Amino acid sequence: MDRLDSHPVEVIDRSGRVSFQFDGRTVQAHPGDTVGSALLASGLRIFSRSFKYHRPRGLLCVSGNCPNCLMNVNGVPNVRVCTRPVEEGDQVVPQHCWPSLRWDAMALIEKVDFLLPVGFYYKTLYRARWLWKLAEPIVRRVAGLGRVDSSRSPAGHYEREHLFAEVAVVGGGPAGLAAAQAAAEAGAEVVLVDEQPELGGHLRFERAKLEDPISGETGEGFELARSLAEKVKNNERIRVLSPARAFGGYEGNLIGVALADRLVHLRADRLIVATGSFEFPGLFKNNDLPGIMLGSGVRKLLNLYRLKPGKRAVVVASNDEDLALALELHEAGISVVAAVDQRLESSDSALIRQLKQLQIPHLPCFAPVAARGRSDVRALEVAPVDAEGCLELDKSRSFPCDLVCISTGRSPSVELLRQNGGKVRFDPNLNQNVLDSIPSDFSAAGHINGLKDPALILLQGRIAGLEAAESMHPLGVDLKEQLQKLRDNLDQGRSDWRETVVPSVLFTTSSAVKQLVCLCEDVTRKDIDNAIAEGFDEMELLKRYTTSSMGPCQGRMCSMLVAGSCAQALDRDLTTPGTTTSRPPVHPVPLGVLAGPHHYPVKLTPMHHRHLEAGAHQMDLGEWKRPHTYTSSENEWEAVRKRVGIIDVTTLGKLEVQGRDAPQLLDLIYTHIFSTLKVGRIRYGVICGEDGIIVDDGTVSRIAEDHYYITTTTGNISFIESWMEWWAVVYGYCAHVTNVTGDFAAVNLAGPNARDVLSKLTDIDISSDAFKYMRFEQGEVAGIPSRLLRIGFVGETGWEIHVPSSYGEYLWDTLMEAGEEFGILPFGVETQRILRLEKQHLIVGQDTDALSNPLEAGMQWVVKFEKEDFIGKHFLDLVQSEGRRNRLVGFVTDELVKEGSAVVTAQTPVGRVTSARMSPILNRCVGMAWVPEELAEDGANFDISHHDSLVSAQVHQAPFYDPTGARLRE
Amino acid sequence: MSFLIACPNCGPRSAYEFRSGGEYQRRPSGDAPDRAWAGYLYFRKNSAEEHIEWWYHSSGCRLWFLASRDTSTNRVTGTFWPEELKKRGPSPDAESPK
Repeated sequence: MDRLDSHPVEVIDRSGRVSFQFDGRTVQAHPGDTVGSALLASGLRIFSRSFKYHRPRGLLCVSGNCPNCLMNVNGVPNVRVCTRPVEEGDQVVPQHCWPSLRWDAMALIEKVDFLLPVGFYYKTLYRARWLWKLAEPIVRRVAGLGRVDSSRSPAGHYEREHLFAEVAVVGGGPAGLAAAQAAAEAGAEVVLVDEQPELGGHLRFERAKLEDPISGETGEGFELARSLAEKVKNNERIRVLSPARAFGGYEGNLIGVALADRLVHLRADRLIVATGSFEFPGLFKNNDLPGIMLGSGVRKLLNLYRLKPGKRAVVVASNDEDLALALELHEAGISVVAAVDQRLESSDSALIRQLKQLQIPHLPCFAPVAARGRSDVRALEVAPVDAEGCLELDKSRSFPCDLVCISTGRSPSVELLRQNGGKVRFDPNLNQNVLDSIPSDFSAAGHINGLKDPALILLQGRIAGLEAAESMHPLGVDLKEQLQKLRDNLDQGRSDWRETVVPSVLFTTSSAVKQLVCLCEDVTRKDIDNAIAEGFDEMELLKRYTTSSMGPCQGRMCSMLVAGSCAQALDRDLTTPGTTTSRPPVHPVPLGVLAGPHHYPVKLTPMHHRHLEAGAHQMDLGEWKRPHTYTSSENEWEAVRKRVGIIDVTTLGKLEVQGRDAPQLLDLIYTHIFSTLKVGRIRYGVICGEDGIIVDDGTVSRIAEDHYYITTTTGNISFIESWMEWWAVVYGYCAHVTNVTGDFAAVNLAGPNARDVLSKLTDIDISSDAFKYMRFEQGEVAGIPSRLLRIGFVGETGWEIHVPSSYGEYLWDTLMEAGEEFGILPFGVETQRILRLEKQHLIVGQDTDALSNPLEAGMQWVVKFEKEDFIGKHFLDLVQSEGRRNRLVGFVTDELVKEGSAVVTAQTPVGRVTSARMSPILNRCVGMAWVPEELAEDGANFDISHHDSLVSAQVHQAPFYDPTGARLRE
Repeated sequence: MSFLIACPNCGPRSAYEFRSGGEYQRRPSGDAPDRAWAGYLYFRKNSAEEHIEWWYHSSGCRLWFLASRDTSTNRVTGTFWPEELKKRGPSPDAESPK
């Protein structure tokens, strides 16, 4: 298609060329084109197929609102090509059609539309269940819009940004630009969000001469738009997000913004909504044929891209501004065969005289009845409207044409305001929705308020900007005076702006013909009438039953038509139906943008690289990476039991508790007593919830009277930290809890030769008499200031050595070197699990769950009922008095059973296995299991379900290895 | 849930930086009946009005404080340290538990 003569209003660069692929052919475009404008220029008329009936659809709104131009661009489905700028090499493919847009086999579905009445899935497929089985695969196949390419990996593709602004402006039209500029001038930090490829809003394609009432600048609309946009872009206090869609308003003045592949959380002290208004189509037979476009869309195509969307046009409008499109079309060399004026009162304005001069037939009090054509509009039939607003069909006239420009009515884009508590009502005098109330911290400016005169829009934008900034930055004398003057000006102008809002008209026609109310979901006038007849006569119900307004346009094209149809069917006026609740997202947002980047934090110990060098198999433990095994658990087990082994236990949670009341705090938190613990000693402790359930366990070392060093399980540290701090605050204890997990690297050196290794590196007397089991000392190991804890999780003589984490790797290297002559081996988590199981040391979270209390877990000795109070005391008292029901016991079997297997007696599951491993020392399977109290006796037998058979197990109450703990104390 | 909470230490921050500690309530004494303990442990008022609750600034200063929030609007009308509870009037709930 040839372009019109070059004009400064155009946004295309005619000297440049861009080419892209569309459905297997190459399409040429200019820089500045959108995919949609380039395709229209290449002669494409059908851009998509409709959701349900696969009706042909062409460009309609050309502003990214309607569902008519959804295509797959570079593998991304449902892209609105009318606002997607062309990029070299784009791969554009039509969707929802087969074999092609022009010939779509699925269009046959319209022939059987009687099978698909409104709510058909509630009516037709529920009675015979077997039928649904047959129908479901078919329904699933044909339903939906666009295909997601699951082979595309989104990893690292999406990002997230948190933005704070003093003033946020949504909408980059004249009102938004003026507001942003004014707020910044007054000293506010501003963020401006606009969804179009360029700032300027509708002024971008406005060619009328205008005067900026603030700067006094005059020029054609688009020139003013560019100069305003330039000023805003160059203002250091304004950050522009464009093209970006503000898709939702949330509590706390938060606006969700989709900026390409980035989700922006935009929070502002004050928000100015200058989102303007949008046009919606009219209701008549075949109102969705390609070639029928919204008036504003046609103006964009004519001016921005200099395209002629047709040769013979009919203009349908309800006011002079929209009717003036006929002049623009005439000037572009498009023959206007009729200017249909839907106003009930005929008027005689300068415009109408001008139309007559140009011999454009002006039809006052007429309305469209039907469009003719199969895949393209060929003619428009119009009929006069009588005084009651009824169409006189017998007097209808038909105009052959290939373009219909519809300007039925406008609705303000009030979604963001409504989502924050703003209210909208239908004004019967203006025949339009108007803002009734605006939430606090918000203001609205421009078209959204019904303003049409660009000068008033600029004025109101500036007022809104100054007022928003004023709450944070007191205005100077100049700006204060200016604000007052602007207010006066607007008040004078106010008298005439409302009158320019002109009725959107809904005329009575028969509903027996195809009139599309909701373009997204293919809901017809008949569907609405049927739904109302079935009793769904309230807007919210009607929406859910017919799915109207639930498609990609989110009701922008249809909500007024649904409300009008509903009002007409019930013989009410339009104030009654109201509107449906507005919820985010206002626009479709790719799920990836909401899901965000796939980043998982990983914590590595200082010795991590040594583990990798030693060939460790890594495993995930919470956010940590830990060695599972290095060689084999048998090898490692043998080193620990017979020589010496070393394990990295840096991941243990570590807390320092200090302060005068630290002993009281620990006595409250733990079931055990720690106020009596002597300095330099260590005690094992269990933490319970208020319900007596085990939350955590670990060692508590007393460094000084008012200073404890605590270890917790790896995954629980954050919780325990906040738990302790909370109780300290609740009781007003003078105790300070500090999480030092990352500050210390730690290893456990254990085995018969552990003392030999350690004595090479330290001057501390570590003989068994001087450094007893469960003692704590501070001193130097390998020259590093260290904390030594003599404890024995694995059941051998051993020390936990805690050093500042920067020395972790050095400590590891030194210990490995010192241990070489004794055959030292590093061991992993898996080996540690076998070693501790042989000692029947439980692991919280592995052997306990949300029902495990320490009494039943076989740790009565840690619960000190003699204490006045501790967390969980009341409920543990109850367990004590009512008697234990279950017990955690050790067991042996001949065969390795799986963790989680059921404990069975008399063919009934009565418990479960929590841990099980082959013990090299017994050469049998050892484990722990929850069993009923009556089975918890040493030597008792029970069965474990294993691969559909039963394995016989025997309770073993004492540790399997070194039951007296002699080796620990050696 | 996108409201702001003004941490008494750090100032207004997104609610996502905090962990809720639930409604403020009194811990029963050791000799209180089972019913009182069950109520403390398992029952919350959860009423649609302003109430006092615990918040922990887990992604910030890691301090516990109290906030008064309207559960129906998520508007946080005030935040304060627990020791200020007593100054806030004689509400039976608004007392230190021990």
